[in-house]
Amino acid sequence: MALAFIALAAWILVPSSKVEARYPGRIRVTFWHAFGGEWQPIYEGMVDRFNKSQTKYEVVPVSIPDDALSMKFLLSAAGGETPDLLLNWEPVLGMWSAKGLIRPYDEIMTPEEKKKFLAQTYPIVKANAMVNGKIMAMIDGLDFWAVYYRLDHLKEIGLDKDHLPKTMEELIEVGHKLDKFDDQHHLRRIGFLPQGILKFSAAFGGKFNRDGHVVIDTPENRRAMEFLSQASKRYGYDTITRFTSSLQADAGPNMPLIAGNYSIMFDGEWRVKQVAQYKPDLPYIVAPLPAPMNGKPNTSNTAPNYLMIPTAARQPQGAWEFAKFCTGFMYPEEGGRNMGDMGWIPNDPLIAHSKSYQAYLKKYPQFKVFVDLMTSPNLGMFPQGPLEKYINDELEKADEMVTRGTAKPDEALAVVAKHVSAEKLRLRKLGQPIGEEGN
Amino acid sequence: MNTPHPNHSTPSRLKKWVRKNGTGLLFISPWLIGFLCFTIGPFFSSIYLSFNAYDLIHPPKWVGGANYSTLLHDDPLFWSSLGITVKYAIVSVPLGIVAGVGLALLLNTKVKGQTIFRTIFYLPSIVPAVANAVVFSWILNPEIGLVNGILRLFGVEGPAWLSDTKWALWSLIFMSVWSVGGSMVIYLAGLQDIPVHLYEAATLDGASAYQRLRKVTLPLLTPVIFFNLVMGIIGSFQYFTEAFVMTKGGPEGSTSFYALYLFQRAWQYLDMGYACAMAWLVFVIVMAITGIVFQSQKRWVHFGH
Amino acid sequence: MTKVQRLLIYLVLVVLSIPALLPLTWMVSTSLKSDKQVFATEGKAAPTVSIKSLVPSPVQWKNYPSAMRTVPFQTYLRNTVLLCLITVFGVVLSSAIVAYGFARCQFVGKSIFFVAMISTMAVPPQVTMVPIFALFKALGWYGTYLPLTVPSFFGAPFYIFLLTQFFRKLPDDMSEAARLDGSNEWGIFTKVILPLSRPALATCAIFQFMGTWNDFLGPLLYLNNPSSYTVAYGLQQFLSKNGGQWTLLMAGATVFTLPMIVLFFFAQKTFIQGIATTGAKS
Repeated sequence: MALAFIALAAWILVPSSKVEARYPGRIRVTFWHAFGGEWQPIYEGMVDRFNKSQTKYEVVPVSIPDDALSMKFLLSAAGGETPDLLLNWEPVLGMWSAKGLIRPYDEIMTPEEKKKFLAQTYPIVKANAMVNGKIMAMIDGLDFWAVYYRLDHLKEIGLDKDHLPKTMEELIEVGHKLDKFDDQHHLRRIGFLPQGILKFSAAFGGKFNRDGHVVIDTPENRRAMEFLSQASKRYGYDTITRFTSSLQADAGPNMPLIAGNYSIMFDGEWRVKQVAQYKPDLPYIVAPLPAPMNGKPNTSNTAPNYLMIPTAARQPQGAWEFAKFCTGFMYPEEGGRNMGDMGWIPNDPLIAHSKSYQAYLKKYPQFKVFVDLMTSPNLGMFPQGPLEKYINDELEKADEMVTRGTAKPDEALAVVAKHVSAEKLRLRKLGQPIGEEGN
Repeated sequence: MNTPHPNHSTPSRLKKWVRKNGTGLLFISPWLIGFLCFTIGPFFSSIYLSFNAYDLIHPPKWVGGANYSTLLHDDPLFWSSLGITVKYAIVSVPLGIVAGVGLALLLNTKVKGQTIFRTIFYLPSIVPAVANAVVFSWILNPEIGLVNGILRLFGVEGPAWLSDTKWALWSLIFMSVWSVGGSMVIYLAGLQDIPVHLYEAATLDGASAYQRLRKVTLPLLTPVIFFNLVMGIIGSFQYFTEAFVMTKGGPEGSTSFYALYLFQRAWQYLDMGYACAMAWLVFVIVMAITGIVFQSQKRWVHFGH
Repeated sequence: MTKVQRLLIYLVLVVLSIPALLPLTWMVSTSLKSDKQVFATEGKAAPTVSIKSLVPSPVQWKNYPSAMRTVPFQTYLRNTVLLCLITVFGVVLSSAIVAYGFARCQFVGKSIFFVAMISTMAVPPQVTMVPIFALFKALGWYGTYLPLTVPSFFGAPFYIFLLTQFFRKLPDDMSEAARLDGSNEWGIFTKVILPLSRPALATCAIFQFMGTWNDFLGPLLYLNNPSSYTVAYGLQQFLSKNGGQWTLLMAGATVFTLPMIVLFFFAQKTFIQGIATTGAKS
């Protein structure tokens, strides 16, 4: 007992031999990101590759849990001592830009770099990265959504990969044919359940940003809301609540697609790699979301990881060098490898056509659907602006209420718009910067 | 008792004052110094900020009582979050006291494996919050959950608990019972220094176990009950973590606790001035309630001498 | 107590133990499962409660070594133990001293000070974070352990209030006797009050130890070097958006929890000593 105790004490108190600065003499670039779990070693492996690729900078990554990242950053900014680079996936770009928390890349890029960025980057990446004409972030991974079909389930009703639904209406009907109940009439499997106004509005031609303004209560968005409401209503609001809240695993070998809780899912690109990891022989196929009547094809919401340089960063140049490396801008081969490692879609065609990325696509052919979506003209994005976080929260609330039948689909968005303009009016009265534009 | 000392105190009067107050002030000086160095400055600055528009980045801008008047007149979320919090406090604080005292009394009897039982009941407070959150979402799962499974044995179909607007708050109150281990420990500590001779005397007088509980144990436990009551009130107005982890204020805002809304304003909308106003409004409410509780203590709290 | 009563109490305790043991049981059982077994809903047709789902098969011991490899556990543990020891020592000592002043001394403005102390707990911490951070930054403490340790030496209101309640409860006769023997207040505090208050002091020590052990936000906000972070931060590293390593997380959580259980098991024995001392002396 005593020996064990001494051994334990020695183990605790003897310092580990871990060297802090692995590259003495280099300029250190502090980098806060939010990748944890299985993603962290992959992402930090890429940081290692950058450090080995040159001799001037050492990027030091710190993983901060995403719940605490914004708070830590805001405190450090209030104290005037920020990291040099920050990766965040919360909708903060418009707000942080308006507050002057982050600095435009335009000031750091050479004119050639800027020209090249504007010329070769996919339009949807630029739309996500730019605020009021300035490049406020580099996008390191842009999430897309597409439809995952379980082929074994489709077979039950005589469909296969060459006979997928061609319209949204058809998709809904096919979905209902795939619903399954047990002998007590409990819903056991849902064919297809559309949820989330941000994900589905684009299919109805809806948008949340127009010419640098946030728009909310448009006829298209209202139509999308009506569609989502109908989809839940058909099952019964309470049934849907129970069904969705009883699914436990969002990832891992028992995630809904693998477990077969749904036959058809509108889900993110990261599932391709997860399926390959946990159930490589799963019979499934990915396809773009079919358009509804009078709607648009090849639609998806896009959700970016923002790579931002704080205004108080001491090594903006080092941060920029690293940002170029990890997103693959100027380094297509490296970028292709990084994007493949993380299971992401490249920011420009040069990276997409790189040898390393083509090799990745060969290994995960289903992923190509997402790469093709990148060039679609019908993509949506988060409402972006100084009040984006507030607007997002309000939209989420409205979304939830409509899906649960407590708000009318044609009124919910008007309520959000009303709240947002009241909040704007209040902030304007207080003299707070909420951007130049009205709404 | 404490005569105010005059400003023009003569040396002997000063000496007398020091002799009378010096020891006590010296004893509380660690707190007093810490209070003056680390606490009072941030407090006053957050009071000042509550009268400003402040986004953490730009210098605060004086707006008078605008934050307060918006809160009181134009913010339905303020009232609803306050209501949810008060409801939680009214149910969970007494529940926690009854459960904590009961458990401590049970564990203070000399049963076999007493130390093991004490450890078992403290376990839920030791298990990390992430593990607890997953366990409870499993226990309360509407389809495969333990609670609804048990209800099904009696032919009752339970609600969707954490996802049901009518039940989410009750689910969190239900969960709070699991963390009763902390106050149980305090009650146990309180039970230890009840002098044995008081029990002996009561037994000699022919008092039954119930009478000993009513006349000896509970009265002598009142200072500790008082402590847990005050801390329970203060704590429930700052209730945050479980709601943040389990429900994020949902469904449909039914668990949007005051502290959750305050956090949202302060750190997500960068509206720190508004959040400070929220903080000081709830401070006034909590202090008023605590004041009433303190006034009442003369009637029911016994210090045994 | 009759035999029947004793049996009844025993029965109640055993029944109540089951829900109390659930979180730990689930945690340990998950830590020994394969990824496939976590959240598996066997026999989807009839959803029933199954104790069987708690039994891992086959048992995956390898989750433990891989969890320990995933994060620099040794470094985190050393930091955590160090922080715990310093804050427990600081907080218990200073809070006891202050509580003695409030409980057993008379001085000018005592009730005002006491109310001020209680009121500091009623301010939501989210709004004082910025000025406190600014203060520590101005002192040059940002990035060091000082913001996490120094304040604990100035007493914590929660423990001061708790100990005040306990000290006030203690009978006066023994301190009077000591006073007649020529002991000063400090002597009474150390020789009479502290020994009588071991259960209460142990309670404070346990709470503070656990608080520091579980706190990941404090170190995260004030420290910037990952190698100075704590075990609670290490646990967070198993979580992630669009993923999360549940089995490893629970293996880490079990290793994380075990020392606390052992600590509590031994610390609560002081409660029993408490009975003996008080019983004999009064």
